[in-house]
Amino acid sequence: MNIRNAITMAAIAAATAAAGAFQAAAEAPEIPQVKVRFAHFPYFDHTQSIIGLEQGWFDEVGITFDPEPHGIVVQASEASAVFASGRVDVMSASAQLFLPAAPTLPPLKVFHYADIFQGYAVMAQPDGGAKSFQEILGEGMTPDDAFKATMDQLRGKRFAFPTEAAIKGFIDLSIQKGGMTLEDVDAVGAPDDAANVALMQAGRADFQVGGVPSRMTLQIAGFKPILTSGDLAAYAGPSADSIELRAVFHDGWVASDEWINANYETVLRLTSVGFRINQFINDHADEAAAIHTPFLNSVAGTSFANEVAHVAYTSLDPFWTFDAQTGWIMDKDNPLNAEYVIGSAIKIYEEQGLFQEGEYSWDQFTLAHQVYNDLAKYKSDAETILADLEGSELSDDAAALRDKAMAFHAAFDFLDAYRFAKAAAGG
Amino acid sequence: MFAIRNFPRAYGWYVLGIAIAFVIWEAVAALLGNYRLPSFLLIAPEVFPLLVESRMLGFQGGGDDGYWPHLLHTIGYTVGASALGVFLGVSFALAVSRSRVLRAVTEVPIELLRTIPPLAAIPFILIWIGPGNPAQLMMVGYYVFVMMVVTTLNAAANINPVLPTFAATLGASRNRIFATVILPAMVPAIVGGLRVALGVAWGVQIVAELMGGKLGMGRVFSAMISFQALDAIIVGIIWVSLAAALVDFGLVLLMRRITRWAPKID
Repeated sequence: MNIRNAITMAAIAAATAAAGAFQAAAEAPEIPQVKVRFAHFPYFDHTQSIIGLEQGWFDEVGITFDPEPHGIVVQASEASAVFASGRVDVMSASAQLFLPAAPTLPPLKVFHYADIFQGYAVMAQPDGGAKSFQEILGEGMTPDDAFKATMDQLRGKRFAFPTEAAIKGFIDLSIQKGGMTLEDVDAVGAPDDAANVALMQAGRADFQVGGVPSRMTLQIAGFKPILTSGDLAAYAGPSADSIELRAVFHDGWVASDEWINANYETVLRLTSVGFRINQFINDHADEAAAIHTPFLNSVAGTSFANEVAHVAYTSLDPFWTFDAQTGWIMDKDNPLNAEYVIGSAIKIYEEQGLFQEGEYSWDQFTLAHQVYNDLAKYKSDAETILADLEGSELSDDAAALRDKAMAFHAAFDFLDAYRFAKAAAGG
Repeated sequence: MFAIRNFPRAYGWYVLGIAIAFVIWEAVAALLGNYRLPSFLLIAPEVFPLLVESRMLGFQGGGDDGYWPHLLHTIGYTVGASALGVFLGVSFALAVSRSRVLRAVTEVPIELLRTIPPLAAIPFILIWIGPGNPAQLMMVGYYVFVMMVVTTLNAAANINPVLPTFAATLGASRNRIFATVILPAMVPAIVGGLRVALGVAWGVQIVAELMGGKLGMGRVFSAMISFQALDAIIVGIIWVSLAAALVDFGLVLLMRRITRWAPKID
């Protein structure tokens, strides 16, 4: 090779490298197309993903539910079996639902909190003359005495409830607060919520506890809530030793450790859509209810008006936004910090000798704090890059990437906001 | 000595069948993992202890005495409700079979009632009589009743017409022919139907117990499902199967005695 050829080759190589560098700076990062086998329960607090599906928000981050278009619907009582079968990747559920099956299930974790469930209530017959905790409290009793007096109304009466695990904490706590045991009531483990409602409507049960649809169905029909999760949780403290926390739990999205580890970026994108849905519910409750309620009715066999969703959104299952969830994740003085809520539920099983003390810890059942912190970090990094880009001269391609980054940021997809912002900045 | 010498020939195939089933179970368990199908070696040590103590069952309000009281309840109600259903079903069918009109009127409704799935019947039974033991008695009794009506009516229809005709030519009255010719001739077919009905009754009883009774293996299964405790569920299945096999064995012995006059086909 003579000198002229060598110079020519070097020039070509330099030009190619320069072109490559320019392309890298302007090239849009790819968002992989992923199918997620998703399962909902037929409840308000487990079907909100329909809002993201109908709005096309999952599509925007490359996620399709499998089977299309909505995934599958399973009963809460079937959750552990469906999960063990490996038929789903992600299930809308709670850590508490899987606690009793923890020794026999593959390791799993909640990776995103959607709402705080405080919708359980002991329901009484409309014409039974039962007084509610709030009514008794209003008569001047102390809270402890009011709890006892409220639950004493169940003594010797038929009390129906499903044997699903998540509800157990509320039932045991209510009975305990009443200074009773299950032996003091005519306990009936009804097969499901529908049977539970049928028993009450036929006058075959005096009191009942079930999921929110059963509560709402009965409440609309005139049945009376006498003790609610909210009544109990109002006296909770910021500690796993606070038994009142057993009345509530965080609902969210659950996956196996194996799936989370293999699909962590998908986990971040799913979570981002989750936060987008929560923000939408808080900002546009009417529009959210108009999408959410018909879907719930179609899978739960209910006929709720859209207004019922507002009751769920505001009191029974409030969906907390990204910013508001700081309290569940970071604030150690917040009784609803997930560490305390899950920790308190674990203690139920320790007290009964089903778990050894210390055998399980709260963070074996949730990864939501890590996911939240990772999203917060991407958010912060994206915001830093976007701030640097402000006022900069950008090529058309780079400006398009910056705009996309800003759109992802507004949609809580901080992972892709960061990736696109970084690409816009030439990195 | 003779029995020992002949054991391999007489029972060898049974032992081989059990061994093959065991190997298949272990292979599938290894393939699926213990959280989908536990190894029998993990289950075996639990078979007897769970009979007398189960913390999971106690946690779900099923008492502190393990499976034992629940198993006894299931056996008692299955056998008792079946006996009631058999008595009523056979009596009803015998009465109906003597009248062509009554038979024609009842046959179709009974056939239709027979096809109602037990799970679909639950809401009605819950509303009509509420959860508990009477509901179990009614549900199992009902299914055995309709099965025995159909079985008995078929048995009556399938009697060789030569038999009552021959008895009549000998001067026997209608009632005597029914009692001494038709009824005995129906017994083998009724016995066959009885075993089938009792087999179905076990399943219906477990479903009925899911309606919320205080005792019963259905309640045990319901409690264990919330724990995804497959080993404990399999132990329950083993005990229910053993109980059903023993009851069936007793029924076979009883029926052999009742139909000892009938020709046996080995």
